Amino acid sequence: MALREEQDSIPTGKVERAAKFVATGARIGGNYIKHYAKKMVNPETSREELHRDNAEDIYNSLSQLKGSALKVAQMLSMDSGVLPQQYVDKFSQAQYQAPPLSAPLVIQTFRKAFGKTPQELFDKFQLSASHAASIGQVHQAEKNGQKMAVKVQYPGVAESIRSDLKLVKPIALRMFSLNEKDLDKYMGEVEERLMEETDYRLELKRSVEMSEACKAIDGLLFPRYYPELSSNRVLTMDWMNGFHLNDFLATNPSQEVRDRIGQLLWDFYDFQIHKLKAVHADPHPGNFLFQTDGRVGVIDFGCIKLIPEDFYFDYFALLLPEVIDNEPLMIRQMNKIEMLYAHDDAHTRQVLVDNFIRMTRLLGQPFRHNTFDFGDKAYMASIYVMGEEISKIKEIRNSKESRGSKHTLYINRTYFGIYSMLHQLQARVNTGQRYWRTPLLAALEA
Amino acid sequence: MKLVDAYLDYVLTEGRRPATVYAFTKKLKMQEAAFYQEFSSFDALEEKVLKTMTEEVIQSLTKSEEWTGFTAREKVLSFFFALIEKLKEKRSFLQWLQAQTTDTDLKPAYLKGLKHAFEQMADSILAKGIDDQEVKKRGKLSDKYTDALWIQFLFIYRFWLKDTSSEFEKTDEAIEKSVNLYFDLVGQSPLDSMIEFGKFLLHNRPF
Repeated sequence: MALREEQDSIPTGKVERAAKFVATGARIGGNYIKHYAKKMVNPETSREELHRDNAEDIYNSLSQLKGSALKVAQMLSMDSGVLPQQYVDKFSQAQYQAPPLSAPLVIQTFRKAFGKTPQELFDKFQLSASHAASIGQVHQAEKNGQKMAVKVQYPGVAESIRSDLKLVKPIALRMFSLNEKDLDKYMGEVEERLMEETDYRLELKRSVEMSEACKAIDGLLFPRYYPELSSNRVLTMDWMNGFHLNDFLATNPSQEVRDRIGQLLWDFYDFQIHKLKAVHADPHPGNFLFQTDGRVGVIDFGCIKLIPEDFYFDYFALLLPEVIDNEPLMIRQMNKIEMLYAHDDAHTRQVLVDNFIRMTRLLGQPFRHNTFDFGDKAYMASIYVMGEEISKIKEIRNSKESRGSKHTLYINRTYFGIYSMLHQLQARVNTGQRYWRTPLLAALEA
Repeated sequence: MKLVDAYLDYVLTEGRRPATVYAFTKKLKMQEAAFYQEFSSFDALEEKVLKTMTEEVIQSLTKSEEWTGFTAREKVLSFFFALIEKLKEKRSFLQWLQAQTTDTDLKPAYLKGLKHAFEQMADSILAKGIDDQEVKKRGKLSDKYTDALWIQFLFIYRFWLKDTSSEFEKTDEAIEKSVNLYFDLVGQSPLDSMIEFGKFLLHNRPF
């Protein structure tokens, strides 16, 4: 499709990597051979089936790694705009399919944390989990007439994350074909976030802070948290009703409700990124509970990315048409966020700059209009097509160096999560309230 | 129990047994005979400490509300968790005891009483498991189920004695994983189906 000459945001780093993952992942499974063999017998065999097989292979090997690998799978599953639908479906299961803690282990965890069994601590406590969370599971409980959700963490998660990541590393090296040093840069960032996620006390503190900071946004719902019923491995909050995204969509919400929800999510993230400079970096559908009246419950503040001030100004300047339409300025910003290196040769440099500008223009389209229709299939498809195209450019494919500061990892993930959710919601969003332009422009002058 | 407390205190402070029962009771300003009224030897005393703890665990477990609703797998898990939790009270003493035995000794004397209580408990859980078809009866092999569980406990026990993870989380993991494996093995498994099918083929040769 023809690209409109428009602007900015979100560098290609994550896109390339995800697209590479598509290609290399397929090689890992060896499913192409199967695909072509089948195709010789039956020309009708679809590529969809091949994608499905591949996703299954990769998913299966990752799912055996539990904990942190599950998180990696989740991170990949975020990029619905980039990965074929079959991958997304398969990876989305990641958060629902963690190995369960046995009832005795749940009791044991409570004994250690509180010196009491959950039955003693709550008026009612369901020993069988109501659903899995990525590094634990959620139980329903009741105390003083209040229904509560109690998240219980697997034992030893924090300690096994490091070794899990070591297991993921060789797979990731092949998937993203990066050199080890650059991969370590990203893995370090992931490890840091994951370690934070295993600390439920920290999550409790942040959840309370974030819900306090965001309570002014009308329509967002936050559960109440209970510090006295929480420990480093147990987190208790009010039980929240609502639908997960897929179930919510199945209720056929009206366009009006979809738009309202889309707007709410958009404003919520704008506020976090530009005002709080701390963002709920896990905009996974599983972390939101949608209400039929258009309100949204936000649960799970385990993954918060703090945005350093310097990086904020360097990176989000890419949202400004004044930057994206000005190539020298663009190159300056690319250098700042480690998209370009001083030692790049002129040819590589030009290829990277051209493609980065192309990608940023495309991904930044919502920031150039006053309203944007995220339901636009052609738009999402063009992101995917461009991801594929870029991954085939040999200067990029053969680059063993990482492109993009480590901070971009979770920021990109956040944006892909938002785009993907808004797309699934088919929401039309008013993106015109760009109150953050003035400080960004001022910083650019400085 | 005065004698037991005094003995534990002695052993843990001195790092060795008292030279004789005589020396021990003299220190307590007691008659030697008073000791023999309760225990025949230091060995017997040590054994009794662990046995009593095990019996207490079993009693409180079987009395608990959720016990009857549990599957055999959950019962064994609870038993392991609770027993290790209980033994934690005397961890230093147990570490000292283990240091007195060699690693290859699978039947240290001090564990005899514990083992006996353990086996009774395991027998009853497994028997119920067989009734409920959660555990598969496999002829003579089934007689070894309890022994296998004991070996497994011994492994967990030693693992725990050396565990340095915070709150002994690694031991919890080891219990969860190993007991699940145990029940995957003693339950209906693919191997059973293979043997069944093998038998069928043997009797009904198609060619």
